[in-house]
Amino acid sequence: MKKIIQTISLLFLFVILTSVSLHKFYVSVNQLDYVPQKKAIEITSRLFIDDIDLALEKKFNKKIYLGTSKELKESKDYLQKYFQEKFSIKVDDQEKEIHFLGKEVEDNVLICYFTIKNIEKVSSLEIKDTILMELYDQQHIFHTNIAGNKQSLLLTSGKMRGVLNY
Amino acid sequence: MLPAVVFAQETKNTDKKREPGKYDTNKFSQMYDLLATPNMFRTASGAPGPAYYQQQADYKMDIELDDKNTKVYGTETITYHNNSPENLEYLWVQLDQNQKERNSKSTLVENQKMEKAMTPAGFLKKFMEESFDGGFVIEYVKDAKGKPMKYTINQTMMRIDLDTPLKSKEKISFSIKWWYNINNYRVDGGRSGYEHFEKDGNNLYVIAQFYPRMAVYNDVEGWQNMQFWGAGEFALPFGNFDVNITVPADHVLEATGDLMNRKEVFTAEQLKRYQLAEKTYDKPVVVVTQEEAEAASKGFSDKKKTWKFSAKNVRDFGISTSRKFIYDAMAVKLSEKSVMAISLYPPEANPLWGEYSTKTVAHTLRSYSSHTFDYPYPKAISISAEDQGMEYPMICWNYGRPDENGFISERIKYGMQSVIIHEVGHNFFPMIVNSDERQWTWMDEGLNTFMQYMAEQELSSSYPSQRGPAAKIVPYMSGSQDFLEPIMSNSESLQQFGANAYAKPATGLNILRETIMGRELFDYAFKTYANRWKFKHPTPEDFFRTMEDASAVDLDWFWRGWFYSTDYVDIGIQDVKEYYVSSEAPKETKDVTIRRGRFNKEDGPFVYMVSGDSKDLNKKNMKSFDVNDIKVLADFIQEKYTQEERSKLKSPKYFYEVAFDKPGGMLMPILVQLTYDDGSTEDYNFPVQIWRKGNQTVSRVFATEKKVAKIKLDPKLQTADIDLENNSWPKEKIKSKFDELGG
Repeated sequence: MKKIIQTISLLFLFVILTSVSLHKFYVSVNQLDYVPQKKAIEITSRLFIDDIDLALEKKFNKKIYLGTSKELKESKDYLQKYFQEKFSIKVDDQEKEIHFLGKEVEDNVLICYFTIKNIEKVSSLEIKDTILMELYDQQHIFHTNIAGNKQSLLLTSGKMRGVLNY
Repeated sequence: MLPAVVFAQETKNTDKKREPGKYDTNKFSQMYDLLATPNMFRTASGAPGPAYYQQQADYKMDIELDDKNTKVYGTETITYHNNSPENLEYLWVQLDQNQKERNSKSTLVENQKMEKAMTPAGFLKKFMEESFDGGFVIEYVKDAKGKPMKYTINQTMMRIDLDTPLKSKEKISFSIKWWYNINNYRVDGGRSGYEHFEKDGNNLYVIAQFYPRMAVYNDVEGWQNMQFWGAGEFALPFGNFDVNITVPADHVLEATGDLMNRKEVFTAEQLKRYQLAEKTYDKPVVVVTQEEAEAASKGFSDKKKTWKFSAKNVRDFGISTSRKFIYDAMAVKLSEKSVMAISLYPPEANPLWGEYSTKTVAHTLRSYSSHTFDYPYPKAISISAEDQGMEYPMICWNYGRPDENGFISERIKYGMQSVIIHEVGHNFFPMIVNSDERQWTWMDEGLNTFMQYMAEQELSSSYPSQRGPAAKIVPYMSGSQDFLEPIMSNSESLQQFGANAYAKPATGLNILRETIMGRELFDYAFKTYANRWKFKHPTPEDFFRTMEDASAVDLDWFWRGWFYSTDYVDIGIQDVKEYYVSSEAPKETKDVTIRRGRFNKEDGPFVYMVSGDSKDLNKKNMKSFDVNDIKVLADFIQEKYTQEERSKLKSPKYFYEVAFDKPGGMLMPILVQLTYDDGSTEDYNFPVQIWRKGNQTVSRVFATEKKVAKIKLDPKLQTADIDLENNSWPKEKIKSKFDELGG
């Protein structure tokens, strides 16, 4: 049977899910670091794997079986297409290309690695992340570290885009 | 005793501005500022005191399910025993279904923002469709003589006014009649409700919070008077239940308590199979078969059947019923008794459930019993309910079925087993060790998640547990402080509910057990807490105090840091200095005098320790220590030690001074691993009291026979240290996943 969870209010989620031993809190945790030696921004995203699996299934009308023995060979391509549409970053007002390097599975979490190359300096970041928001009242927490200047950002369906200045 | 070191009066630069004084901020300070003062109800040892009391609520209920219209009807007679020393002017009853009323305030306290993109179904649900018509319809509240009683409903709570106060040690009986619409929990949410199967038109009901329930009255809160907003669960008194449940005759049903009329509701064949299950300890016996369930699913009986249950000393009551149910059961041997493990699931849940559910229930009962007390109830039931994970006494709902193609991923298999362990485990916390969930989610979820971790690891040491290991809490604890609050925060105010109330307390207990107290001391204290408070109402203080009282391990620093603050662990190696032994005094130590006792002064000769970075270090001294190279020492040994004594002397060759610092505010023992140049290792564990002076840094001296090639802090990731960059000497670049992936 297909899941019929649609856009649901946060409180409603709390009601269904709080006593559950599983995640069911639609929050991703993302770490974004500027690495001066590599002139690169490195991003690690932790997303719940069953949520992403369902998102890919809906988008591509195909079961991807992420993180299972039946995972499709081209799963990385599907993920890349999906991320390209949902995740973008401007560095100092310039849209940058985000390379999806790879992924690994840790329990029920899909850890994704992204990099943005050729970054000389970072004075401002504009992050837009709508991953999973078509399915859930998803939130994304970004922890950033730009040359020791640490700032955080919370993106929600009401605030899909956020700017940080360093 | 006199201190051996005498300090000279410090001369202060008088131009310097005087610093203000300060209050005691030492992290080892005892928690008089945070814990409630012990009293006759609850003692300083963490045990119930001589004046401890608790109320009792007994229920007699007749419940009827209208499967066609998805409604529940009920009447109940509550007998409430006032065991408190006070007289009560009124009673409070919980009406949790009212959280689903159309005018519920729960929806009004949501923080809403316009969603920029919605599915059509989502848009309709949010803006166009009529919302679910939930909530109790109370038909009457009457006293024992049938006279209506005055009552006032405030959201999810109902106050019943008494003509004369209910005196201490007296009891009162009254009756309530009600009905409500059952929610489709997969559409409208909820911890209970029904799941609808499009394919055959049937419903699978998981019914809970279905009757007006007495609130807790006790010595710490008075009446439990916080509303049910949705996150903070329940606070309920214990009592005895006699419940008759009428459902369509083709349903199979289970509920809290002993089934009193099994002969009337099971077929003769099913009864025989159940009797076999009562004697079968190795695997479940199928009592209602898949064929029987599939046959029943095709019909819809207009006849009714009444299932009669009796439960002793439970705090709540749950029911599950459907004509889709397969039923299996087995007996479980505990140390002094046998109980039943039972599962009910629709055909869609097979083959997963037939294979794993009941066996997992049995494992959970054995594991939890061994760490606390023998499971005191006659049975534990696991119900297959998609998207659920919710506990009631003796019965719980659990998610996890094969997908529509019959595929069972490892994730679903382990997820389903974990949720069963977790929810069956809740029988111990909070169904029996009955903490107040409305106030403190962590007291049952945190303790239960810790127990779940142990049960999983006992099932298999390679079990992929998601919560428990120290390293797994690091992403949460290292996050921005804006998204963190202490574990000791009310259930409704948590931002990252699962991490705060489940994972962090469970991890903390695991760290106490494995790294700080050791299994023997921890297990005894934890068991003491469980046994002291089973069938009672403990508070956080009772837990904190018992863990210390039964172990003689002062843990106030741990409770302060891990439970009352959002401090995180970060301990690092600040500096490592190698020292060489010399008989010549380097310039900086030339004027040294060593005092002995109070009045005597040593004038030498001395053995000098010269640091590797000292300008005065003579190249010829830069080698491993050999006692024969230092004449002063060699002569001293020759003169003062017998041959036998000499043979017992150690022969250190290398000397190091290692300075540790503590960028994180959470204290932990310092776990040090030295790796020698031949690859062998040696572990040191410096107890947490090494930080007892409120010091930010501390150093230790190591004298070793082999050259140290590497020093590592917390090599087995036991302390949830959030930054490993400063954990090694020489500095080790943490292998980056990005480098590996060619980023």
